[in-house]
Amino acid sequence: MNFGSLLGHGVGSRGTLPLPFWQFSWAAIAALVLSFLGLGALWRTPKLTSTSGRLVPGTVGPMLVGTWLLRVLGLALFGLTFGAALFGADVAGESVNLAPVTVYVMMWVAVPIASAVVGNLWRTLNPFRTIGLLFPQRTAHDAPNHRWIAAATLFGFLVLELVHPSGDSPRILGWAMVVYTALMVGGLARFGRVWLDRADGFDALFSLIAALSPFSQAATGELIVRKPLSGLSSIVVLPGTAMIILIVLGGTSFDGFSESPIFIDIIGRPTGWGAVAPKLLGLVVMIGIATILYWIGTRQTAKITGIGHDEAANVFAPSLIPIVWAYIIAHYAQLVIDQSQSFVHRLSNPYGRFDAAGNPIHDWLGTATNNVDLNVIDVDLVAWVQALSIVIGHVLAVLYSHDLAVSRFDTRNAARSQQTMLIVMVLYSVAGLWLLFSA
Amino acid sequence: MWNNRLLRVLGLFIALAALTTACGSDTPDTQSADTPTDDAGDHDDMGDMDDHAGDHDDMDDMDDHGATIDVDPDLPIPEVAMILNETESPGVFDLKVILANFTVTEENVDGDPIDNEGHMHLLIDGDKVERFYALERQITVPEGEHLVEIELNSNDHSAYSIDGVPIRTGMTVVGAGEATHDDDGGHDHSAGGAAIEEGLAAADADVTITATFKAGTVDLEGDDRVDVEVDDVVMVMVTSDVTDQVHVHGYNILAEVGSDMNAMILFTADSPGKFEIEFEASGTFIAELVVS
Repeated sequence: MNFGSLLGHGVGSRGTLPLPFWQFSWAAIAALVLSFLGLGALWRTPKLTSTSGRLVPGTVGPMLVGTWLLRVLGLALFGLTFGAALFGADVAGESVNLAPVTVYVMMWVAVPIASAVVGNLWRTLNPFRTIGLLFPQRTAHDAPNHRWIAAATLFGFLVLELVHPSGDSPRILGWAMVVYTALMVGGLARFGRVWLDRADGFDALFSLIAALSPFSQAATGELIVRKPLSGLSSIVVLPGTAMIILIVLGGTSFDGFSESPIFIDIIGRPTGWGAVAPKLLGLVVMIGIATILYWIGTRQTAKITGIGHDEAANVFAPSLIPIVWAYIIAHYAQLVIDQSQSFVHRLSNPYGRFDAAGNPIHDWLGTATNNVDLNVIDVDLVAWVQALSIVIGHVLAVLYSHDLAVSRFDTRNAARSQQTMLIVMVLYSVAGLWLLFSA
Repeated sequence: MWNNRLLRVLGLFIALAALTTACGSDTPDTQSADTPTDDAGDHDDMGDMDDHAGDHDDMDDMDDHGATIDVDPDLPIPEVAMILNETESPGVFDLKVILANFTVTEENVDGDPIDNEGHMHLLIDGDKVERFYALERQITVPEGEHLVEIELNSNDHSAYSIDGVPIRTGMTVVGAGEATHDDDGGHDHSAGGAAIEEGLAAADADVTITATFKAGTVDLEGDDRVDVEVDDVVMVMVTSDVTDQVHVHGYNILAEVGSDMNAMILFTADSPGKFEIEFEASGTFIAELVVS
């Protein structure tokens, strides 16, 4: 990872798998093909799409309290992080300033991993959503009706994270936050809250991932309990939505690939600005590969079912979400385990300032001088979870796209329309495993 | 496992050839007077230790002439590092000396030089204060800012040297007050050039990674991927012509390095994983440690 000083070789796995890579890959392929065949034979009616879940009565009050607690927490963390980034010690190390670990680990990794389980956390934590309450829902009818801006902001974030030579510098991060805040608040003022739906890349991505969760919230405020994955069918796919997912898939893959001996053989180990061009190219190529594979996979769907290719690409975009979630776990589970400890330590002394004797200026939680326990969870167990997540993520993707296909097409076409997609899924999963454990 | 106080040590660094000045003469005003904690009292040769008001013996004069003896380049190079922690009493510091490839032999002192063995000299501001043998002791530093150095000496009292430059380690402290500290807004883990896990000595190292950074390139001895087993003791020695920090990621150990100090990191690799070792500021890659 480019922000090596924050995360070191935090990407991927520190543990070892009990199976060699090739055995694991065959197991993954077998799981995918068997689930595809099993689904074709047994799963003939949609079980996930068009189910709305169940309202839990009497939850309006607790949900409202929870929402405001999370909003206050989100604003407070945003303020602390922003302050630390702009005014704290400009030291990239993992044990100094609160800002890098908050942005790159807690927001970028921990939030989406948790969202798939507990629901759309970011919707309430997102400081721009809370700030957005000051603005009308929609003031302009010319607000962009696509998500390309959101996709572009995510691409920008990945460039900062993976390409920029000093993306882990609190100060650089602080200026990026200034730009992002200006973009969000400016858009809110111009277009109203709808701007965040269209342009806030983090909000868009984390909302998509939260569709996997069995929990949601009704417009009236009640808690909704639903089948896992069923939320995917309620996603409003706009132009650019598929790209949001593909950018993150490609970016995560690149993060793994850039640590691989192959990439290092190609570009060496350049530092500073010399590394920018090859890394940027690598990032774009990885996103390109993910996009082209998806394009090929959906082309057959379009051909067999007679719908347009663009429509097929949009309709099936939510089926990639379990894969994105799996990739995030597979690449960053160990990182979150290691660095979320650092986050708690940094919270005690967020600006990372020390007095002349080397003692932290603040020690609010008494954790300022603690060190990360690298073995807090057995690393081999984490490796297993990481490898299994890739397989499970792809099986879920196959399952959801099958369900979607039978909800739209007749049974025979439904299975056939997903054949190429299955091959794409096999390629994605083997590549994902290879990046994790063999690269 | 990492004792914070240890890691927070205010500047402990190895300085090979920090100063080319000779040992200088004993002067009472830079005397480190009280050194009662080690086994000094047992020494036959007490002249160095309790030498009051310039009352030297002949041996001291021999010590002070700045004679050097180059180490045998075919043998492992002796190294010295130190850790200084100010105690509760102002001006009194706990001193820990870390040696590599060097044996302290009190019984052979004043005898013929034997390669890689001998004793140590404590110097303050370039002037020899005393001879000593103990690896842990206390020293007293006079009021004000002073350079404390440790030198390796052979049995005949000449300083071990490389190309005539004495092998020394040194750091600047402020006696009877606070020790100096770089107030760059943090990084108290790293104010010195050595980060040594408590209880470890250089001789414990199972693997040593040695790198030299000169004119923009890293010259590494051996492969840049270093495989070790869990719980191996790893030593990282880095010299550099540019001031920076050496960082072992994951374990998050930092040590200062520069033209006047070498970095020495000594730790137990108790967590599996791939960990990059690099220069922190420039991001220059040194090696990848693979613990499995």
